[in-house]
Amino acid sequence: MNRSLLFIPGNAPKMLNNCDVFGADGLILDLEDSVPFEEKDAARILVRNALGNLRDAECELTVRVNSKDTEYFNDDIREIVPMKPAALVVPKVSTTEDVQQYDNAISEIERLNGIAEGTIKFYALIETALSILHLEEIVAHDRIAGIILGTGDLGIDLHIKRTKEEHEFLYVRSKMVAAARAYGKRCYDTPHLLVHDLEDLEKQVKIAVNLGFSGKAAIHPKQIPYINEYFSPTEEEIKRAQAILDSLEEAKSNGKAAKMVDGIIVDNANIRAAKEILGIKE
Amino acid sequence: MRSSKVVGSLEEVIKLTGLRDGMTISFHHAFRNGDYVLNLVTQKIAEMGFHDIRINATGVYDIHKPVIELMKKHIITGLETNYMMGGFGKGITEGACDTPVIFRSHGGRDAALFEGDTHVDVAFIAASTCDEMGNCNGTHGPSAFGALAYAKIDALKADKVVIVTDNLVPYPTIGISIPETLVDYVVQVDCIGDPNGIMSGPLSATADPVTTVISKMATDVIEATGLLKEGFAFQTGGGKPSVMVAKFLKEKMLKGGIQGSYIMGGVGKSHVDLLNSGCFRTIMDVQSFDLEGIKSVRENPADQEISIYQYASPSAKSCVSDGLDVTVVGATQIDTDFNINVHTNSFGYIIGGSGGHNDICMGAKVALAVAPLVRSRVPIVVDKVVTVSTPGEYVDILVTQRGVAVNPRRPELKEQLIDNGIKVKSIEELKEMAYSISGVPAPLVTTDIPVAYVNFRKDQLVSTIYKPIL
Amino acid sequence: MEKMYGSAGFFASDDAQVTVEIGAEKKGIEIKSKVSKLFNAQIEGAVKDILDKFNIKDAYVLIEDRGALDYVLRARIEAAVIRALASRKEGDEV
Repeated sequence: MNRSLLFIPGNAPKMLNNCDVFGADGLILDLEDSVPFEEKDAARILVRNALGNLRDAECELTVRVNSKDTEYFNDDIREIVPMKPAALVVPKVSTTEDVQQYDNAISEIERLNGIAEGTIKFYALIETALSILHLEEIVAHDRIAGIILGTGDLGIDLHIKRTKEEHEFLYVRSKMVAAARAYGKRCYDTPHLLVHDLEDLEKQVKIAVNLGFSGKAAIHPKQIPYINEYFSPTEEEIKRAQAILDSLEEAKSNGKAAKMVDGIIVDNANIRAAKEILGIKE
Repeated sequence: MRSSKVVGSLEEVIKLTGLRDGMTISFHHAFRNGDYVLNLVTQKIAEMGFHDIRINATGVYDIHKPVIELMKKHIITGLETNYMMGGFGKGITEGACDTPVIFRSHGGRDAALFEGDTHVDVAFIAASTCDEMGNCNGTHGPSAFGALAYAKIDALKADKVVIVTDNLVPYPTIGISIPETLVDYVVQVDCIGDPNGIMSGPLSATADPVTTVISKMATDVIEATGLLKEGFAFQTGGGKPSVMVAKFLKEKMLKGGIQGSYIMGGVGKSHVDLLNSGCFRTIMDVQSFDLEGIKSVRENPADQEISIYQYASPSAKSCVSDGLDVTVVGATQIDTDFNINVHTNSFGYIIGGSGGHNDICMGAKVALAVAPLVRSRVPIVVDKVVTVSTPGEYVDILVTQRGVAVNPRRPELKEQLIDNGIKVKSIEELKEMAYSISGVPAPLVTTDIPVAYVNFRKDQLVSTIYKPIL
Repeated sequence: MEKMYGSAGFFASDDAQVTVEIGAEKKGIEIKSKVSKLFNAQIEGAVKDILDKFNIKDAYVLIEDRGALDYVLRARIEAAVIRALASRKEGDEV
């Protein structure tokens, strides 16, 4: 399951101790924006140890490192990469060159630690105007497992005047979904910053689902149940998916072509969608 | 013609009661950490030169810490209680009292008095409204605190009964919780207590994320027991997890159109909410936890004040706690036998007491304990609790943020939960998990000097609390 | 040998403030913790392990702990040691 990605401040032992019980499918242990400059060194060691402590957790473990343009980046990856998190969340990615530079840096550490190059994947944070123009090449890169929208920084870069409905991000969101889906990568909607407005969160989650996102990031555990619920297929969808595959089986055994189920044509696209809903890998 | 029972001063009334060295005085704890009466009376007793006085108080709180000093001077030499807050508990644990404290549950203390196992010479009963003949209540007046449930047995069984009030009203008062028939004297003081001191625990329902996870799971478990249906009878306390469970339960009950029969008090905002939203028909009320609770028992006929005798006494022909479907309780520790500790922390210091814990765990069809697996490195699930408060045979389920365990004594309950989608682990598994997170704790070593005896309910000795090595 | 000093972590719930002094007269491990009755051995063990890892003898380590789990404590000790060692480097540059 890859519906929810929960940010955890990297210098907060209390949160790190229990971050795996909130039902999030993935965790982002953060060394970047949630950690003040004077604590970067301590946080990186704490997160390194936390990764060891969480090794049996059932969720995907990722770490947001500081940008490669900062003085913290090299120490971050030197400590974190050997712990083999599933992915690094790389900030301020604007072009494929940025991804390649991250790739080169991580490859070296993987080499030095006897880890097969390319093992650790990237989630690229889409938070600059330039990144919107380069989405296709960013998602095409092998290291990229997915992209995460960050409307906080992106809104500033685009000079957007934010409204509650967030219509102003519609183009950005749709383009991200198109790019990610074209290359079979995941796309996560932005974390909902009004933490205590759960009614608005629910609205935004439904919009993200409708737009085609594969999941949504979160900054507070109480957001997780809403994200997981709406990004999970409904009972009805599961039944219909099963019905589509059943009719395909039935048609095969009768030597006929499958036709329609519930008004849905049983064609390749719908068969693929049905398998995805049922979690069947190709 | 008859004369008023009102006496001019505390000193005078103490003389009139015939109090002597060696006697026992009693108090109720409806004011919790806002009570003034226990201190007023004991300070006066000290001034008047008494020694060797025993206290029987249904609960003692940090506000009563001056009594620790009186104990060191041998003015107070014994204490029987159902609950002891941590600041007071430190003094007792470190040996301030000449004789070991005797702990009972609320129902057990009531039964002990009823049956004459223990005796009160003079009861000092705080009441927020009282008339000159002693008809009184706790629900009306500027210092209203809620039901006068705990003191009803004292009024019945004590040799002398003194009502202490700060609100004397013309005879007869309206709202009679304790009738004049049982009262010897009435004395007026400036203030009997601070209703704001009643509120302990959370004022708002926002809990930390881990408590939310535990409370949600506990509510799902309650639903999975199959008991959450029309006529559901429920009890939960005033702490953070309890408040959250009440909130989640309300959502489920409203969604399912379920109306429960009763909730048992102590009563705070979240319980009142359950009543007012139609989720339950009535509250059986013995205590208020906050101002909302006080208002409710005063103004809503469906929020009914009852006695502790009816609430939880094993001596009664029947009692409310025996009709419970589910109770949600806390624990400072729970061991692999499901024994629960609510008297001491993991270091052997007294920080609580049964209160109603014993009675409701025994009475309920399902007793569900909620706790985090580890609290600031201290494991909650352990091999053996430091103090047994409620024996494991009365505890059915443990819910933590890392798993749910069912007492092996209840295999059918375990099946029921599994069939309804709850993942169940063994209690040993949870203990191993706790120890792997915290480390294996060194065993606690104490002296062999007893500072308290813990009775399950009335008189079944389940634990002795020893003085730590200081 | 010049005095080196480093401190990391916070005296907050579930965390520990660790102070490391190398080259001072004070030596040894001082533990101030609510849970020392239960976990003193483990806390001392964590300090010794980290000091060994950095090959430091003769240090004074003060742990002011509020229930930090082992992995947190070790991270804080390590960060304090690294900051202490860095403080010497800074001294040299002047």
